[in-house]
Amino acid sequence: MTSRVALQPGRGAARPRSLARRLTSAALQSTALALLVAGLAVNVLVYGWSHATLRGQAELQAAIASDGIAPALLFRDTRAAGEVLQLLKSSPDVRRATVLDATGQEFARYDAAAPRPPAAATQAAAAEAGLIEVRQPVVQGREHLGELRLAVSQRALQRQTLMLCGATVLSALLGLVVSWLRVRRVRRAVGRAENELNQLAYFDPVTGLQNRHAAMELLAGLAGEPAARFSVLLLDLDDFKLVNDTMGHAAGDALLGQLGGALQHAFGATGQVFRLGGDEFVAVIRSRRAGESAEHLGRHAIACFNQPMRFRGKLMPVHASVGIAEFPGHGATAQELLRAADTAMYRAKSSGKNGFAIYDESMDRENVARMQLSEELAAALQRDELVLHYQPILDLETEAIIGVEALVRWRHPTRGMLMPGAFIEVAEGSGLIVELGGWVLRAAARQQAAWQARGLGHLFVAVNVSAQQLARRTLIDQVDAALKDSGADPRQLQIELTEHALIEDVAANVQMLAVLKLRGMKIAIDDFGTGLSSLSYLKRLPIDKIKVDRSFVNDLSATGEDFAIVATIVGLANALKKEVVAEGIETPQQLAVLKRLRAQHGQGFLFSRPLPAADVEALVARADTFPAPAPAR
Amino acid sequence: MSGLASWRRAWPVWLAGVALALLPIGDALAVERGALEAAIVFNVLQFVEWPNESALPDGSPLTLCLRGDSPLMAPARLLEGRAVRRMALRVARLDGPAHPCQAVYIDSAAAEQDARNAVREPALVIGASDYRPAARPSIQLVAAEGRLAFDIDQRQAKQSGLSISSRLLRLARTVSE
Repeated sequence: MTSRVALQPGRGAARPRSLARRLTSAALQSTALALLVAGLAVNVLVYGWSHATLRGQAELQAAIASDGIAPALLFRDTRAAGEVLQLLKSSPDVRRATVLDATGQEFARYDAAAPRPPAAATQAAAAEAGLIEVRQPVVQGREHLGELRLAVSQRALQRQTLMLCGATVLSALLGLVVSWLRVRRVRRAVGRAENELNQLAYFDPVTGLQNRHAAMELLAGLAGEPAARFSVLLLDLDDFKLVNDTMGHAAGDALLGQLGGALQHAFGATGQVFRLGGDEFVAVIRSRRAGESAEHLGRHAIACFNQPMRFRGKLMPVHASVGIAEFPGHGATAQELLRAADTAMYRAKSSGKNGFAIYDESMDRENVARMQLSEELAAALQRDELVLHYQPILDLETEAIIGVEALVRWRHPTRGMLMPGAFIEVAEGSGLIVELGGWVLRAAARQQAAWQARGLGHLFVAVNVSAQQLARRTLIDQVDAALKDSGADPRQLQIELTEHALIEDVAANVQMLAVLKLRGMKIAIDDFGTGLSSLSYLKRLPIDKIKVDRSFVNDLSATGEDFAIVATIVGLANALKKEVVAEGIETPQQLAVLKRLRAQHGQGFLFSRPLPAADVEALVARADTFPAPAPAR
Repeated sequence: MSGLASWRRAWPVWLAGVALALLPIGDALAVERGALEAAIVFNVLQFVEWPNESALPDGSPLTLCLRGDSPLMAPARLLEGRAVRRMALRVARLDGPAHPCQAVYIDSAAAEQDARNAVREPALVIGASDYRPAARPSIQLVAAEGRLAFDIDQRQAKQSGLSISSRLLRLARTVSE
């Protein structure tokens, strides 16, 4: 497992301002705003109340004084009026009091103003501007005698308001500090959560590498720089599923972790490595050593996969296919570059796995051609342009035809008769293989039923089934539909599967094959020896036949390695009580060796190439013994 | 507001009163001393409370008794009907038919004699500025320092069951207990 290095996030990632920082500033701003509003409201209210109270007090004082003044005014006694006004001394807010008689003439006056220095006087004059004036009529009984005017200073009120303002500001500041202290704690928690989210969003927990999201951001950022030069390596593991299935997911994760480490080690200095998901990695190489070509990079990448990877001491088989695309030549955007690398990677995969390919435009042209072919094939399925040919399978002992392998041909309207090699890969790529497989099953079953009707019911028909028919769980339905539609004898219908098709999901496939066997069908493993040839599969899977791949038969001689291999396979099959069919028998020598090895069945040009159904019938009718006339392709 | 409105209606009377009050005493003695004293007497009445006064209906008469030959009679008649708090001023002759008197103005020995004979109920006795009754009155008008002032004898007032407002006491030249 690679160490979880906190790699720098993608360069192109324009990260928004940290959530924690925004939270802090928002919290402080709202606290400040709340304090400001509350403080302002309290100050305005208190000022209003105090002002009203001051005015109320002044009015009360004026009322009291005017009551005392009334008799003085009535008797025109200014001395007595002055004495009453002097009582206002006890109220320091009262700056001035004037008594006017009924004619508006000043009758008596009180001034609180003590002698002041000139500077203070100016100041006082300014303060006097904010005087509250209260007018109180002087009444005796119903008679209006005059008016008392009181001028009350607001200085005390202003001072009090100022102090309240100061206290508000101080307590608001204190509140902000407390708030900041609290928010800081929350901010730390949010910051931690943010980092974790960041880790989740940009990093892959299995490998510790950055993930697809980070890769796309980096690529988008780099592709935005016209002067940038970089290479994109897309790496896809071959048969990763096998590791997961046979050794468990823990082993799969360990393998991914080790690979991530190896890739990071190989490319970390010159670029960045990301796990796109599943068994896909991408390396973005930004600086290349002088003279280093894309081929170097490809070989370098493949070398990573050739290092032995172990899980709990067990060696894990791992290979990868690598597609390489270059910026700016192979694409202008992150998506285009990844698509180009993907195209190259598929090219590498289809040309034998554990290799690399560098994107070039012809791949796209081929893709277009493949797409066109795929469309034509879909139409061909509708228009009944497909036809089955049958290659006889013989009992090597008696050299009697015991069955046939159905092989599909395409009567292409412009290109003539096409062999499967020309279109099966396209069908697999587009998923049409499932439909095509269904068609083949139906046609083969119909043929078997037809032969049965014509007294050739002893011939079995073997049908090739693709991995996708298994993976999509359509096989059983297709078989049942074919049997029902044709009335064929299921015991004379056989299914041929490659090892690769079987290992995708062993448990599910075992079940599916068991169902087919319940129908009475036989199951054969095709191309045995070319794939993994796992003995444990042979034991677990309900297999009836093993087909020895033509590559071993080709160079079969009485000595040689292939002899040993075929001998082993035949011995194994016999020991496991399974039938053996040798493919691709072309010479009497091969036949002789196979006979000596006690291989039961065989097929090949030595006996017959694949033939239309009618020709097979004719062949059987002749009941000739083989060897047939010289094989012809 | 009603006070203010009534003041506005009565303004010519008041203006006359104020004009009189503003006159220096020296001249007033010669011209209308009676009018000035009448105004003071009227004002003094505003600050005196009679027993049972609160039980009287609004507009009940407050009778000021003085001799018919008093120089105060004519100016007092001018004030007749004016409000003294909740009551209305009425002027009656001491030497005329018997009347209940709430206030008595004494400006001569004859007036003092008449009052002794005619007045039964507790009354506010006011002595004129130029006459000192033998029995001390509750209010004694005095001419001093060129102005007209008054002295108050609280004991007399209390004996008569009268209550004199502290606001008037404050204006008095002297207050004896």
